[in-house]
Amino acid sequence: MTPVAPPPLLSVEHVGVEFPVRSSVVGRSSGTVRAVDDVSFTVADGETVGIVGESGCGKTTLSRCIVRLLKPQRGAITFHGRDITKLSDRALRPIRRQMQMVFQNPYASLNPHRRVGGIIAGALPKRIGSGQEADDRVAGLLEKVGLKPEMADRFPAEFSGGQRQRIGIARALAAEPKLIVLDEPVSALDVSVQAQVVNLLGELQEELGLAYVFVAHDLSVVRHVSDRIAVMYLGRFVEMAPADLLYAEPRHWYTRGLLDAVPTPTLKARLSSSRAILKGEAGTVLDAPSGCAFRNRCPGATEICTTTVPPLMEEPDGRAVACHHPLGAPGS
Amino acid sequence: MARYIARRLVSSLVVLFLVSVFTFLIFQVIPNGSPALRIAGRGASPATLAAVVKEWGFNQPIYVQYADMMEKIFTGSVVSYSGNINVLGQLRAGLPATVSLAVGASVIWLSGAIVIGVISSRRIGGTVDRLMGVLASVSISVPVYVIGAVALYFLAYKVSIFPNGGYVPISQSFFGWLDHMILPWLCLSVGFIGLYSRVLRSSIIETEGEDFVRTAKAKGLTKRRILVHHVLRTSMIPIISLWGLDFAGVIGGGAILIETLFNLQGVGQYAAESIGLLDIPPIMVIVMYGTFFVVLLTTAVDILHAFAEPRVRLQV
Amino acid sequence: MTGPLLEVEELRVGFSSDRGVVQAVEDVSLELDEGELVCIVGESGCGKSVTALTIMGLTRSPTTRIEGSVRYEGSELLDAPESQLRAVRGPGIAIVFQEPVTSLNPVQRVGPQIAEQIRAHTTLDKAETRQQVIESMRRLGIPQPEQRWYAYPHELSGGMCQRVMIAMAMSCSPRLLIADECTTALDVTIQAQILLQLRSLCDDHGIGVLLITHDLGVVAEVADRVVVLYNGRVVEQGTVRSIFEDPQHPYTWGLLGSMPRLDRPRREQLLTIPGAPPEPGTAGGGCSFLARCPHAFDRCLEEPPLAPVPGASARESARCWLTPDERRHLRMVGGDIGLAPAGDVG
Repeated sequence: MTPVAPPPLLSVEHVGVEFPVRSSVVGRSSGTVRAVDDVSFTVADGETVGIVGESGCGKTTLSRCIVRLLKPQRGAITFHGRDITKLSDRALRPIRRQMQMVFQNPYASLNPHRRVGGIIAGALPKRIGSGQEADDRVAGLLEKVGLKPEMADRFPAEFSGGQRQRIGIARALAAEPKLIVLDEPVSALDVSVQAQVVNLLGELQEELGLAYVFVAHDLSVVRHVSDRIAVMYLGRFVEMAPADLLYAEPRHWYTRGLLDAVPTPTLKARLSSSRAILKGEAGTVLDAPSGCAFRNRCPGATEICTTTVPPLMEEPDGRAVACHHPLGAPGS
Repeated sequence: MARYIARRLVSSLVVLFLVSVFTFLIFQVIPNGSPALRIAGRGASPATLAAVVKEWGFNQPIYVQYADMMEKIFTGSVVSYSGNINVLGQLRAGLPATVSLAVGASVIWLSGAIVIGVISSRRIGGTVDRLMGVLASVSISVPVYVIGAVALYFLAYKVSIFPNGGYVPISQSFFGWLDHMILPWLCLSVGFIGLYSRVLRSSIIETEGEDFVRTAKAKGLTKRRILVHHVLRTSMIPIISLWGLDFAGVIGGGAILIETLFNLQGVGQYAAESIGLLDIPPIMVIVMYGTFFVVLLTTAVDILHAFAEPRVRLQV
Repeated sequence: MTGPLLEVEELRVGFSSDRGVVQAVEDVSLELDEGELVCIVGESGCGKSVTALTIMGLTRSPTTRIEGSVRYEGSELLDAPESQLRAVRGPGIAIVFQEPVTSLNPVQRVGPQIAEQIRAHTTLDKAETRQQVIESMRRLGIPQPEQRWYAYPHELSGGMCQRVMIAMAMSCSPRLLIADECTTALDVTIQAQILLQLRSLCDDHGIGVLLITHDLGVVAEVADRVVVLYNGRVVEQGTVRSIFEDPQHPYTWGLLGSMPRLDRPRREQLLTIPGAPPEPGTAGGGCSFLARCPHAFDRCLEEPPLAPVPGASARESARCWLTPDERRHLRMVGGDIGLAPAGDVG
């Protein structure tokens, strides 16, 4: 008898987010645009799910939905068994502690007028209060992220980008979360500093059993940190797979195009006109083509791709792909 | 675009309405404001007073008085309390002087501000810039009637280069008109030039730091082309908005001090006299007339802004 | 054409402010031939952008001290009069910046902006200029250039704006193109298209390209030669092959080792360079990489010169006291090139 898997920590089901659209000077509202369209995935305890995509794909909007900074118009997001899209702000408060967010811009996401210690202490659970125990906790958190406890008295402006990002992580940890959503946490950092922060995230996950949703556009970084990865294009998931499988054998044409385009620091990948790179641009959701949104750039598009939006179909090995003619399938 | 204008029209009418109500109410509650006493004259008997009150309708409820006045204004039959003169006629009589003042001064102050603003921005912190800064502070701080009085004293009284006030319609004599307008134009412009040139200077400095100006330099364009075509086009935009508002103010009769000092008999002077007499009908009419111009010009400036700045169009 | 297209010799650039002088570039020398793509690579604060801007003469100001020599086709640019500089910008050297949308005039349509550059340097009339602009845009792969002429920058995507910038830069047929992080702000699929276009400018048209980047992956894909900058100095330079297969400076090893790579299996931990890149102008005595280098020894208290690599081609050099044998040994960490963690020095 196969063991029943425990229920996932986070379950996103058919989530859709729409924004109204104004088409001209006078502001005639000409409909809505689906920034996120029918997205579903789960995150288990201690797992890292990476969401990768280019600008305008909706990954940031999706990440904001997960922590309920935005409310989706469609679908459900279940965390610890409760659907957080239906809850009021008050009911959300205890749940909010359990999921935290780390943002992209280390220069804008910390209050410049507060000392670092205060910023971290502000995220501690209420029962700790503000006395000695709180100070000890803050010192401990700073050490955990590789900073010195004395730094609690300083202001954010006195730190470098990488250090500020560590402070942001310390603040997220202070609330004792089970899930951290990271939106492009290392994109604004130098390469050598990126590596430090990525290593830190890995250590913390091991030690504390955290689950991560890691949203980024840099495929190399996402592959390094994730267990499973979802590829997003113009609001939809086009492929999901375990990290190594995705990179070794992509099933969606966009995934392959993305992988081909990533610059790798090896001489085997010199750019020349004979190398097949993806043509055209993604554009925005507003002017996406009918049927499969990727069809105008896809070398394998056919008739059916113009009429029908391909659904995300599950496959063995924990994979899923949304394509009428996925790569690697017999006869493709 | 049509919808936008329609929306602005509606909001303008609301503004006009609110301004008229507010003005009317203020003058009802001002002490010594009772018009009946003024009309009846000093030492009038209670009987005369009562007759005046009845004839002019001062015993009616406020909203009736207000409605009454509004009706008279829109049918052109509103008369002033002092002297029983048709207000709209007086207003029309004062227009040529006020319009002359507004148009001439605004051209002078805009061109002067551009010249001085650009010159100051060439060498920031240099002697010329610092000198201009001091002059600007002086011109903004010294009250306009002091400037006007000093100008009149030295240039019209002591030495008769310019006439000692008064207005000559342009239809009567072009040079006479010019002669009488030069001093008022210059005196009114001084303060504006001081303010605008500093605003423009800051705007230029800010624009010159922008990426696209760096690109213009990298294209090998001449300094003049970069300044006029790239920097000024963008940095003038805040100036134009200011200018629209100030121009509306002057043409709406706001240059009260200059008009009175130079005895131009324009709308502003009329307003000053009416306020002195607490003569409500002319005050109401002039306030609404002024408001109309402010609203008209702010809308025109906004539309112009949208054309000059294509990014704004999406938000308007 | 004899001699290199561009020669930079011992360039030093310092910015003075109330807080004193910040030396953004301490000692940069490089050469670039026609048809060659040279990459300047480094992290923030290393002075790569300042170098690029100084070559174009865009850092000239009363508060900037520039020393050294920048020669284009043999003529000195650093002390050239403005008129000479203006004549070079466009037909000689052109530059493309990192943020394409803000680098274009927001209140002007893009077609006239390209035309403006052509008219500043040629005597073509309006119709001919427009023709040339449309041709320029078409060559860069901008679809429907006749209509795109009328677009405002904010109406175009980042990738399209960057193509417009490159079309504008190429409109006067320069012989040298400087690309300052011009793909950093773009999506990776668009970046690949733009890089391919830059590469073809070199291969098919003999243009020299100086590409500034922080991404070693980009370097591997398109560079012929590489110059590695750290704290305002060149710390290593060589052919792209020598940089990736035979790197000489610990900082280069660190950069190579700390990148997560798609072509290698995932490691548990990335090899990192301890500390953070220094702020510009913070030079102590001694080697500028001293504080972060696990292989430092007593000699490093004296700043090493940029010395040629023995047995290698003329333009390969490194600024490090370690001998080539020591370098070959120390740079391998667990089978890959990287910077060993501190305390792990063999």
